[in-house]
Amino acid sequence: MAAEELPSEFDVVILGTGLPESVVAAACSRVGQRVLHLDRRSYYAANWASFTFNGLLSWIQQYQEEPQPKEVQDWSSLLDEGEELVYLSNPDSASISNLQVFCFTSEEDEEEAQSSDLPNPTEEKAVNEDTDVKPSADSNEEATTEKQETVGGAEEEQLQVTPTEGEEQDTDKPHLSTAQSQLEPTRKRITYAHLVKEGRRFNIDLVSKLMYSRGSLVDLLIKSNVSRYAEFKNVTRILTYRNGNVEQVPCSRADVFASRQLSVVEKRKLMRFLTSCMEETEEHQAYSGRPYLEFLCDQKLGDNLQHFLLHSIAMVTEDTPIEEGLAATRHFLRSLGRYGNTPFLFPLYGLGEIPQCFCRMCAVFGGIYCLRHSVDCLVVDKDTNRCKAVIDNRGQRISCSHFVVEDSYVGKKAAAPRRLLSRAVLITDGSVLPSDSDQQVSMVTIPPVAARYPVVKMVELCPSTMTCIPGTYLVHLTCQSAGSAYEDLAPVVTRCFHTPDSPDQENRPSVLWCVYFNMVDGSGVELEGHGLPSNVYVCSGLDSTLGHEYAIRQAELIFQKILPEEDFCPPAPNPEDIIYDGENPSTPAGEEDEDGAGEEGKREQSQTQE
Amino acid sequence: MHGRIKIKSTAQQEEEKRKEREKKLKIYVSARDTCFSKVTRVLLIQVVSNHQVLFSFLCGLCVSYLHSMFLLDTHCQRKEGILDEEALQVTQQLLSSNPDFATLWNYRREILMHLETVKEKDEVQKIYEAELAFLESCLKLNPKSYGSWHHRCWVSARLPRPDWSRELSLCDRCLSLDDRNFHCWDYRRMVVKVSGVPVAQELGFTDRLIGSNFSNYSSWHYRSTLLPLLHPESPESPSPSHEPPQPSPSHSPQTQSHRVCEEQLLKEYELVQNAFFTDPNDQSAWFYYRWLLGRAEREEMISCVYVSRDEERVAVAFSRPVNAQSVSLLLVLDGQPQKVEWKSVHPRFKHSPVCICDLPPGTISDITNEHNLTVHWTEKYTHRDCALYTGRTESWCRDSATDQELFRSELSVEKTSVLQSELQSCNQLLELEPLNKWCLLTIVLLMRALDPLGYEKETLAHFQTLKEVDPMRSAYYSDLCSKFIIENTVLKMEYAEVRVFSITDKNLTTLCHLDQLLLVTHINLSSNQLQQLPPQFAMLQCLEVLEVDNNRIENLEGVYHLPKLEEVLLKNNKISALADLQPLASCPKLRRLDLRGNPVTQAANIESELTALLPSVTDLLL
Amino acid sequence: MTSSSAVVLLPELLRIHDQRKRCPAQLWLCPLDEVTYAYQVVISPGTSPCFASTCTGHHTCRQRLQSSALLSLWASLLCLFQFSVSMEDYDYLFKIVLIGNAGVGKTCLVRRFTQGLFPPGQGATIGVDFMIKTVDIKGEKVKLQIWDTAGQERFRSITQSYYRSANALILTYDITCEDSFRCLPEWLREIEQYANNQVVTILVGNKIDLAEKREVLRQRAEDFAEAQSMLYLETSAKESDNVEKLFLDLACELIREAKQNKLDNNDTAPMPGEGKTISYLSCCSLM
Repeated sequence: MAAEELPSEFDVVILGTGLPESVVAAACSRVGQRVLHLDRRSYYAANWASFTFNGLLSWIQQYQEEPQPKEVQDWSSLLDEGEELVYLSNPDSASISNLQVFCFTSEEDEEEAQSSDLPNPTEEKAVNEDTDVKPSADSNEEATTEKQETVGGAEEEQLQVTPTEGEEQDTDKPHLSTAQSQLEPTRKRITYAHLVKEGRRFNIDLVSKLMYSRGSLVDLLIKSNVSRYAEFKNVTRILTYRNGNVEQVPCSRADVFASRQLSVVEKRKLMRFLTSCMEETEEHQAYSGRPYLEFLCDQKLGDNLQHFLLHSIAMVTEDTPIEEGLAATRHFLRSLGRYGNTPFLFPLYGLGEIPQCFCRMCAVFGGIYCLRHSVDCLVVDKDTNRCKAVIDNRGQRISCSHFVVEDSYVGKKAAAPRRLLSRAVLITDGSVLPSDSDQQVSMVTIPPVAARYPVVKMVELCPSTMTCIPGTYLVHLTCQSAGSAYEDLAPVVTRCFHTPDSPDQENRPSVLWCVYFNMVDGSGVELEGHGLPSNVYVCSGLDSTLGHEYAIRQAELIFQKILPEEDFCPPAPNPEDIIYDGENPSTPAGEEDEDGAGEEGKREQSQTQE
Repeated sequence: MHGRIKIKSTAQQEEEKRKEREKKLKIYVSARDTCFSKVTRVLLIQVVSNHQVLFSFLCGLCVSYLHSMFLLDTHCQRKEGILDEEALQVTQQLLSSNPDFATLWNYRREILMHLETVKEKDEVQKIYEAELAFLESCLKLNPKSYGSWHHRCWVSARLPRPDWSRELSLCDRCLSLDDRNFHCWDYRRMVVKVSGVPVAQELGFTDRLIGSNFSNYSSWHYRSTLLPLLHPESPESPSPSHEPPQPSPSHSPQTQSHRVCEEQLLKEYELVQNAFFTDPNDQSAWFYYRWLLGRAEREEMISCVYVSRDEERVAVAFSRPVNAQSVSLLLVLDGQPQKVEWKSVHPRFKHSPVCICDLPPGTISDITNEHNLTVHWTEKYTHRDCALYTGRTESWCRDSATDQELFRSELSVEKTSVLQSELQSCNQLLELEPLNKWCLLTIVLLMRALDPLGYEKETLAHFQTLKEVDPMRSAYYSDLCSKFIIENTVLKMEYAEVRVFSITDKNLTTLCHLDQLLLVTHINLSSNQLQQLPPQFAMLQCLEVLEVDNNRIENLEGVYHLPKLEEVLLKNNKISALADLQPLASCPKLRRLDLRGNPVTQAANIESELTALLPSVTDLLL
Repeated sequence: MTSSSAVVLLPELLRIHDQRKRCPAQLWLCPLDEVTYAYQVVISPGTSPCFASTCTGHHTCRQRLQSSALLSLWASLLCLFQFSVSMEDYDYLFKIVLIGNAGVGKTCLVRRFTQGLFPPGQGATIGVDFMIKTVDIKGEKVKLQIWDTAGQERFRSITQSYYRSANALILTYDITCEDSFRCLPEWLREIEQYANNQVVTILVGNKIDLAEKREVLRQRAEDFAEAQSMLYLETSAKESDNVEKLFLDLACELIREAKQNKLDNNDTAPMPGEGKTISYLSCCSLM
């Protein structure tokens, strides 16, 4: 693993290995561009990455540490006449904020924990009181929610005081769960030690998205043959949280047939509605500009169906106009049934695989990869205002004709206040809706729990997605931020799960461990501009939608700006169809070849075509 | 560009594929020739001694002889002990590229059967297991190959130690790829039967398949055979938990009652309603629903015995058609068994719901005598008495037929409340889908079952809608509607206790339930759309007056040996040839015939010919 | 391993992708009717079956058949056989992944094995995802998909997804380069992190043709391999020493494991309509 010197001439240099950057890299490399793809991190996929449990812990630690102000080195000695340096901003940790970790499971292995804890439970409880205002008489819902605020506040404070002392914080946690384990001693609990020990079997995504079966990502994967690098699982069911319960949303014909919540008349109405909304009708046009909800109301569908259609199928809010609502519904329906009973796919080993697949494609076509490597500044030709080269963090000047960069490097220059996403990742010990099969991948839509709360999308992954260990489920919650991630999502977590803050919900799955954080919603960032040279393109980070449409569209736009004449990700050749040097293309080796000259000629031809 | 890969052009790829194919074809052809040369070799030995073979051999290597060649081949080889594994290999090669070569499968079976006789049991097991593995690869090639499935069936049956669970999982995988692969369904039924899978488990299996896609006749049908086994109707049957796990032949659905207990039936109604509300255009659910609703069978009995003194004839009506020649009927007259010949009313049917017999001349002709008549249906242990009193020329004995017994047999649930609620939910669906033909049709059937006379108006209206929304089947709906009109009229006639039957101007297109009209003396079918009087019409043994003016009748086949028929009014019909009137000649008492407005009246000499044909007719209107 | 059912790809996708792999036409000879024994021969190019010829005959009176009718049936059968030839004929498909430092000869090993060539043409790996060689192991056709690193090891930037779903790993070092041997623990860490638990790993010391420059003693490597419970083999891609053996041994081992796995878990037994692709997961791939 010797570190070589990088070549110093490329067509395209790309900094950051998030999804759009990786797609651009693959697309450029595929059509013959010399691509250098860098990432300052030691892992692929930037904020699109998936981590093992231990990997996530170190990622958390890194963000909790004070960012070291990096010295800005002066590379002006590398400049030629008529050039100037444009420094990239220090990639700060601003893209991730409000990071909070909670562990609700015991540190030790079960037997040890019990033997040591049982003798002095009262003492443990006493310790508890110090850190955690434990709700004592919270049988009713309201009392619980009120207390949560204070509980959350207390936790937060503690974290902020000791941001680096994650260990200490963890040692506090077991007390909560030992108190719990006495309440229900029968339930076998997975300990924190177990999570750490089996940590490599987790693949925890920073972003939470799903792939629409007929979305642009799936189309691109198929078109480009990148799909051969990954495997996928169907999301097996769509759920929704309603009236305090988690219910299954019937969306396919088989679901509607099997649904127990819907009356037969509702079934008919739903099927009718879904069939009718696939085509634009005069009725739809009559509602032009008015909210989708209004249209649904007038269809006399009833509360059940209205909820399903608005929140779970269209996944829009109450004030979304009808055009958008119908488009979302159609997108959902079009994707339905291509690979299964729901419109969604999820890649095995997590979403972090997808950018890596595109990187592999780029590498196969000659792209050069280098992690832990960054670009300090751009060399800009003063006359043309074009970026001629970049200077990496080791002071090497690398010339390029195009430069693509992740938005966090230009963060300071984007003046507009950024929107945030609130994220929570939970490891739980059971599904929110247990069923016959324990291998369900569920998408859960959660309408606002109270007036000013956002709509939350929750994805629950089972172990067969290769993202968590048997006996656990990995739950991702995402919403557009109203406050901090904890403020936005904790109320949902306490409603849907059994946590120390909601001790009365013993029939719900328990949260073993969870993390809350905010990410920047980059969907507003422009591709160009930012006071940067014209051949520099900025890939914005993530967006808040469920699909990957935004990232793929962005990548395609950037590619078209770099290479307007070229095809975007044409299919990679099938390895069986490749002609190798010295090999006769049509006759097996060793067999008599009469028209060798002809073949030779053909080969030359195809070479010149290249 | 340097270092770029070169990719085979499409033409190159095609060329490669073509060469590959050629190579395979070569192998295939040579394998086939090996196969057949063995045949030819043996054939040459046999050719002299077998004229048939010689003949066809000379006919130019007729391929139709391949089968017999193989038979010969195996026959000789076995004699010479040269049946070999090579043949297995060669056929395997051939079959793996074309699993639909039935002849070769047969050949293989011959070989395997031979091997069975010479090998140890363990070896046989191994050979058959290899055979199963080979079959899997064939099924991969064509999952709907008759030959492969049949062979698999055969191999499974002969396997010394079969692994049924593996076979079941194979079927499940196959069905998950294509849930309508009927070959696989057939094979699966065989496996289930042989391996004794519990019925409840099989029902669960259909639950699963229907759950994933309910547009599947096979699953619904399978369900209909399982339910009567698992939830039989009669209370004395063992409860489901005590059901013996293996469906022994005596428990096979064919021999069991098709009835299902009420409780389970209600669950099934719910299930199937879910299906047709979800997709009302899916037929499979509707068909299953029809099956659920119409599961009752009519009791087998003698419904009517009629005796006529003048003709010295007895007519017997049954609740279902019987074969007049073979039915075991015993006629006892005044305590004396009579030797009579039972026959059907028309030579065109062997099976008919009405049988007649002529008594020996003079047995009942004296009007001053009273007679007691009993007809025994010996195989069904049922009988019916009939008394012919002094001074009467005819007599009959029958049940006062109610609508229940007559026509509800096809849709029969014990509780009308159940039917009522089913009708309600169908009406609910109709409100949402006013043009759905399946829904309309089912509503019609439910209305028939509930109260045919009460719902008559709605029924006719629904038929009108049906004809409009489904014009392709309008003739079917017309026939069905005719049937219902006739049933209603029969009922009305029963209630009125008259022997006159009249349906005029109702667009009848067909006649049915004519066995119910055994006692009718006067029938009026004027102004309908009838095209013929079918052979069944001959069951109207008491008919005196027949009015069928203003129809489209071309054929009078059914007006045959009607002993009391006196008047036939056929004005404005389509009778075009004298020959069509031939059946009338068999009616001895016919005296008035109205043929006005028929094409036949235009024929020359029609009057004289008619007089010759029908000498008894005194009142002829042309 | 998992109880959930595998996802069946819709044929439309297969068509998009495997247009060339699908056989151009299928031959169906099926008795249509049990009673009359009417036969139908249908050629179906692509999806829409088109009717070719029909002959009828009766099973029991075979002798009296019109020979011409059967002859024409036979002729149509013969000319159709070539269409029914399947292009996918292998019993097993395995994914083998090569790892190791840059310059230890990974690509040479693959090309020596798949094409019998050394040294490989310049830049030949560009655009080559993996190489394929079908070998015959005790009568079973085994298709080996051999994946190379695509140069990502140069700056220690191999994607994790590269390791996923590999059936076997070939960990390569250069016996003339101490450094490449010392990096092995680092590679093992990556393997442990990202590869499947059931992956078969083999350690390969390459370039034994340069014996005079040897820096890593055989014993040392053998001990190391044993400690990590790996197989060990020394090869020369240049002299073609042990290259065949390396891949054939791996194939044998993989078949053995696959069969074991099949015994352990009856559910994964291949069924009609499915290739015998050995995947430990039930999942769908977009290919």
